[in-house]
Amino acid sequence: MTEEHRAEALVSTQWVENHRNETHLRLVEVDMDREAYDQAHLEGAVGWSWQTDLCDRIRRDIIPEEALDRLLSRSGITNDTTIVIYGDNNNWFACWAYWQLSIYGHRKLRIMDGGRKKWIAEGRPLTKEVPTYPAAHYMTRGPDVRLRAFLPDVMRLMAQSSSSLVDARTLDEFTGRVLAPAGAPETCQRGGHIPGAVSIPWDQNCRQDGSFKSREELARLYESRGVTPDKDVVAYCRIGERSSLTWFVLKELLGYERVRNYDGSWTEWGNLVRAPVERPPR
Amino acid sequence: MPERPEDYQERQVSIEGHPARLRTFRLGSLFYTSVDNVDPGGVLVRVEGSTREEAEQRAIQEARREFLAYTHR
Repeated sequence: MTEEHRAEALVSTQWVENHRNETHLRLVEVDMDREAYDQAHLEGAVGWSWQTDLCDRIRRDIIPEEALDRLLSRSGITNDTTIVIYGDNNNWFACWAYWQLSIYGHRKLRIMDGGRKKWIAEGRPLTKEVPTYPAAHYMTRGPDVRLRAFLPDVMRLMAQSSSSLVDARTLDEFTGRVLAPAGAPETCQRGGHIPGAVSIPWDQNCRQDGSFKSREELARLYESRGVTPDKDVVAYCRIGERSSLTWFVLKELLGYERVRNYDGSWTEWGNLVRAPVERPPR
Repeated sequence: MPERPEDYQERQVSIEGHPARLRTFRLGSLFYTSVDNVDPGGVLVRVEGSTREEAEQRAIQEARREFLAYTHR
């Protein structure tokens, strides 16, 4: 894996400011809440909601194929469009969108490094104007199930030394001291973590300005915890969005071949009857 | 017309005993403030106001309600 590969997945705020009006490129903002987009966003950016646009609310699933076709079509996106995704929280939900679009085979994908926070801190232009684009034709490919882990996969990998589970939640969630971060609803019955998982909270991937750490720093972070490129790696968190950022780092910035996001995450595992859970003694 | 955000600032405070981070910037005549829970950083509220003080005070009040509604100790 080289810096070239990293450069393919990431674009800088300056690059976006220089290229944002190019017709083959579409900016997409995905935040923790839609209010951020409504307050102001990059000129020309469409806003997607992870809670309504990027999921199947009935089945608790990622966006169905036909719904993704419709979403992309109404966003004026074709199979050849380069999609640059950004959002708040150092791109948590931007990575969630990136992961789903990867599953469905969209190849020209980029994350704006640093996301909304860095753009605003640098004083780059924002607008309230919501753009409209002529409907485009989009045909989804996939899904590529190698990028997504389900419960049986995690059950199987948990016991294998050739695999690594990465818990991207806070240390307090990992140890079971809390069931959810402060101010967030508790979505599980028990605290702790999946046996054998290592704790690498999502924010260890990022710098203070919201951008990703260097390739060398990230490689050191994961390899020092035994999460090496030769393993089957599964990342998880509470609902799968923080771990999509971990997935992005491992897959797209470090080039790990076999890395999956377990979007069932602790909301699924922490509610299972008789599922094994590790937590330190109190 | 697009405008450039100005006066971006962030600082940490304590709300109901929980660490909280305020981020505020000005866009045109309005100040926009968000509050997150620092670790992991989930945004709890976003508000706007005509001054920095007004936006931040409102944000803290609304965040207090969120912390009290959802956090169990």
